[in-house]
Amino acid sequence: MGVSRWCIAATLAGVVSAGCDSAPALNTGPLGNGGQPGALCNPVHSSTQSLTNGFTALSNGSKSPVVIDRIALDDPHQLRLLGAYIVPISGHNLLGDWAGFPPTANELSVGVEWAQRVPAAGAHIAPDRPNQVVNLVLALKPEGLVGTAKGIDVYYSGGGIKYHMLSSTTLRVVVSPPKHC
Amino acid sequence: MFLRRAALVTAVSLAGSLFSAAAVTATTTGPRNHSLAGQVIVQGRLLGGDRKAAASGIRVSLYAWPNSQVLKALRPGEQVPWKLVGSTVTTASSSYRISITSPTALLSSVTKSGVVNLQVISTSNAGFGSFNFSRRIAPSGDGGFVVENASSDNDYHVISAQAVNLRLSTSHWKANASNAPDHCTGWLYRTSYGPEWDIVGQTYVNYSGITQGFTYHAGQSSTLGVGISSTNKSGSFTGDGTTSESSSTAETYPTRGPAYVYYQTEFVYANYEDECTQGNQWEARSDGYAGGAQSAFTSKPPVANYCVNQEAGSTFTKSTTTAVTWTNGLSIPVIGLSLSSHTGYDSGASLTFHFTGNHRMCGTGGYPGGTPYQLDGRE
Repeated sequence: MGVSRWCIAATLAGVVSAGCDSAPALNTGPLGNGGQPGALCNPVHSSTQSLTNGFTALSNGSKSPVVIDRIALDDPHQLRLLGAYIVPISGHNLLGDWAGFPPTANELSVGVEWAQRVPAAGAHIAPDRPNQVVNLVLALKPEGLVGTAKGIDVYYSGGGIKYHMLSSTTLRVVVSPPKHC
Repeated sequence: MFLRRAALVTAVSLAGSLFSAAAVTATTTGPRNHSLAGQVIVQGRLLGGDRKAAASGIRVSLYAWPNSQVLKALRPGEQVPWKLVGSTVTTASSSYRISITSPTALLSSVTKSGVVNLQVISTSNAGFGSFNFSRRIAPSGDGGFVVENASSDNDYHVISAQAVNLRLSTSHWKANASNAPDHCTGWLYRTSYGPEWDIVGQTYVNYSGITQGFTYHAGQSSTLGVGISSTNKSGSFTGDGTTSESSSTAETYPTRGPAYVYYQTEFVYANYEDECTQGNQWEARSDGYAGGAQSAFTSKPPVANYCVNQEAGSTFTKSTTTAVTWTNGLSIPVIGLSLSSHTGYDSGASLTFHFTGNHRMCGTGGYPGGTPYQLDGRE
């Protein structure tokens, strides 16, 4: 259940809930609504290997830049976020998902401008141009045989307003073998 | 998903018909439906056969059809127990706006999953016009209700009034000299066409090392075309909007390698007749889900340019996405009719791709993690 909806429900029930007034509305800002629900499962090949998750495209639908304040995993279980980056995309291909981090040169599709990546926190995302997106790329590491998260929380600001986008694709990272997607 | 709902209803309005008075349910504005009363649910203009404005003072009505369980129980000749939701007459500029005057009629026609099939209709000596559409009626949490898009769970996003410009037909009309209401029996069940295959999903894979699958769960709703005719002859039916129908059982389709696959399941279609003094009308519309699973194949994949890499061993499942409308997704051969179909996948249907090699997955309308519409697994 989204934060705003929970707050609405709490209010209707006459429950005073701390944080409802200050929490940014979920999935209503210029970076969109987090997409339509899905589930992604990726293997890594040892318990020490990390995962490159470059599945999320971000585009700014407003007329002014927004700044990413913070990236986090939503409700993670045995899954750790090691780093988050914004990678420019000059074509139509996103980086996608690869066992290991960082990705190797062979794993970079044409148009994935990995060399121009910047840390996600503090990154400016310019207003949309047609077909123009940036790629949110995470370094993830399972802390058990299976790591999960309900999605990716993107906290950001624009025009003095705080926003929160939660991606709608759940994440599952398995150590394979013994586990498999 | 927060609240899962789906259902079916339709409305036929037979202004001034012999039976419409009996079909009208008294307007109520009780505490659980206060937010529905007065909402404008459909609006537009009434046009003559020449596409010019029709006269003022012609009645236009909105009716809710009962759910498929009620429809299936009808015997040939029995009247469909539709319910009048609201009614009005056209203004001097031939426009109309119908507000909900009977929330009870609307709510009593909603299936357990929340969808109601509606029909806006005008029958007078000036001609016959009709259009079918559906809405989802969702509890708003404060004791009231919200009218949403039927093909998706909008989570309390109120949808604007359906815009319908009704074009009056006088084909096979005996006279058109006045605007007086015609006298009709209301829709009568005539016969069943039986189950017809309907496309409810599609996936594409063009490279070995990727498998694809599709599941159509119980409760998933699909939007199905309605056909209408003034003669009931084969080839005479034309599109008259859509209804929503929910599946009552699940279908899991075989997992496949490279292929361009359409997934089909069956819905039952039936024939209804409205006998009027001026001339009769016949409708072909779904009255229930039959089930069944069949795959069809095409050689032409969609153009999908929004791609992500998928490593070997990974799996991606899209459990909700706005889908395409298949223009000729369903056909009823006996009357020579092809109709549109649309399945906006909610959590009741899902597409699954498994990658045994490093490949790509692409969407036609956006990236797979966003709103891709159609998905294509490729090299």
